[in-house]
Amino acid sequence: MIPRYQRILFWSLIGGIALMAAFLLRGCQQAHKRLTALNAATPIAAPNTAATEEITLYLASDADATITATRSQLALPQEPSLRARALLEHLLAQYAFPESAHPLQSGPAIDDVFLMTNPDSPSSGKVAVVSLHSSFVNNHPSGVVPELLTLNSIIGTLHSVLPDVAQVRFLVDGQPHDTLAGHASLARAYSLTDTSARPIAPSEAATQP
Amino acid sequence: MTQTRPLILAIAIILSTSTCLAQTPPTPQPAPATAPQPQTASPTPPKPLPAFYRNLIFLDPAHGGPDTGAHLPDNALEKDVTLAFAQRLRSALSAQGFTVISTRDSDPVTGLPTDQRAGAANHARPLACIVLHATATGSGIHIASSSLTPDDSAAPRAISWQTAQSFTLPMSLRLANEIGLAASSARIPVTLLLASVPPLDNLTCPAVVLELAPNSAPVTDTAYQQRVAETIAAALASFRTHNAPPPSSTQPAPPPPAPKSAPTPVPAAPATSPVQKPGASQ
Repeated sequence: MIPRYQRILFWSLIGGIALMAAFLLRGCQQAHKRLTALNAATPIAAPNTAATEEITLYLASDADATITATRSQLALPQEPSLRARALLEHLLAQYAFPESAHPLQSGPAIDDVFLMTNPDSPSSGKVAVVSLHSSFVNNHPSGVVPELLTLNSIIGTLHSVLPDVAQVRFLVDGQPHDTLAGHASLARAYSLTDTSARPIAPSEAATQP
Repeated sequence: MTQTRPLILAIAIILSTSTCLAQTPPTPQPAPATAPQPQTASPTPPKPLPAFYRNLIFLDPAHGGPDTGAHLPDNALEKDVTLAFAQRLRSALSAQGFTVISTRDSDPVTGLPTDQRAGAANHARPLACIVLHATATGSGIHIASSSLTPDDSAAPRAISWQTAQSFTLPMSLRLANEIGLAASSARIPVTLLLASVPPLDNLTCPAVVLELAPNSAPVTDTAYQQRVAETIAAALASFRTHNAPPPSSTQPAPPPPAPKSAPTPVPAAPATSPVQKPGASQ
C-alpha cells in the first residue's frame, strides 16, 4: 500500500515534468522562428517616428519577365535622397525572401543615392545617382533578363517616389561600372519612367517594313 | 673613264623619267557642265558604299578570354556555350546562302572589348548583327532590341557612338519580331525585350541580342542548339526577303569591299547614309 503523500508527490513530479516539456517545446519553436527570420536576412527596420505611407514597389518576376506595380505601406524619411535610399533598400530586401519571384542574394545593396541637377542640360530635370554596393553586383545572377528586371524594378520604384527626377545613373562603390553582371549596361543614363510592362509578343503585322 | 660615269647616269635618269611620264595616264578632267567651271573645281566625290550587304550576317559570341560570362549548370561557362552555338548558327546560316563573319572562332587569351566588336560590325555593314548570350534562367530564347528611342529622321553624316543604334532601331525591332515568329512556329518559348546590352546601342546594323535559355533541355544540349540555330537561320532568310529583296538584274551590283575570310557579298542597294532606312533597300 503506497502512502498518500507518496502518490501526491509522484503526480506532482509528473505534472512538473509535463510543464517543463511544454516550456522546452515552446522555447524550441520560438528559437526556430528566430533562426528562420535570420536566414531571410531582412534588414531590421530602424526606429522611425515618421508615419507609414502608401508606396508603390515595382516587383520583378523571372518566370514571365514582367514587372508588376504593387502597393505597400512603409514609413519613409522626408529628405528625398534618404527617402529614395530607404525605399530601394526595402525593395531589394523583398528579393532576398526565399519565396521571391526574382531571387537575389541578401545583404546590403544600396551604398547611397544622390540627387543633382543634370550638368548637360540643367532645364531637363534632376538626375538621381544610385551607388550600388560591389557585393550586391558581384553576387547578382548573370543574364540579360535577371539584370534587366533588377534595373527596371529600381527605375520604376524610383519614379514612383521621385516623380520630378528625369534620369538615373548607376555607380558601383561610387565608381562607373560597365555592366551589372556582364550584360545590362550601367554606363548609360536611364529615363525614370513607369517600367511596369510585359514582354512584347511577336506578330505577323510587324514583319513588313 | 671616271668622268664619263656621271654622264651615263644622268642620261639614264633622264630617259627613265621621260618613260614614266609617258606612261602616266592623263589627269581626269571634270565633265563639261552647263556653266563654265572655275579652274579650282572640286574632285568628284567617291562612290558611296552600300548601306548593307544583304547576304552578310555578323555574329558576336559574347564574352571570351578572361571574361567567362555566367556560370551555367554542369560546370559550363557562358563563353563556351556562346561559341559552340555560334558555330552551329554559322553552319545553318551558310545553308541559307548567307556569308557569316564572327568576332571570334576560338577562345582568345585576351577578351575583345565591346567597342571593338561594335566597330568591326559597323565596318562590315551586314544585313543583321546577332549578339549571342546564354543563361540558366527562363526558358526558350530571349531576344532583346535596344531600349534607345527610335529616331525616324535621316541619319546625319556623323552619329553619336552611344546612340548609333537609334537610326536602325525600326529594322532591329522587325528583326526581333521575325525571329520571335519563327521561334513560336517551332514551339520554342520566346521573350521579346527592350534592353541596353553592350554593344547593342553602338551598332549601326539591324541588331538583336539573342540569349539562349533552357527549354526542357539544358543550353549545352547539342540537339537543342541545332534546333534553335536552324530556326534563327530560317527567320533571317525571311527577314532578308522582307527587308532586302534581291536587286533587279538590270542593276549591276557594285563590288563590295571584301570582308576578311568572306566571299563577295551582294550589296542591297547603294545609299548615301551608312544607316539604311526602312524600305530603302529595294
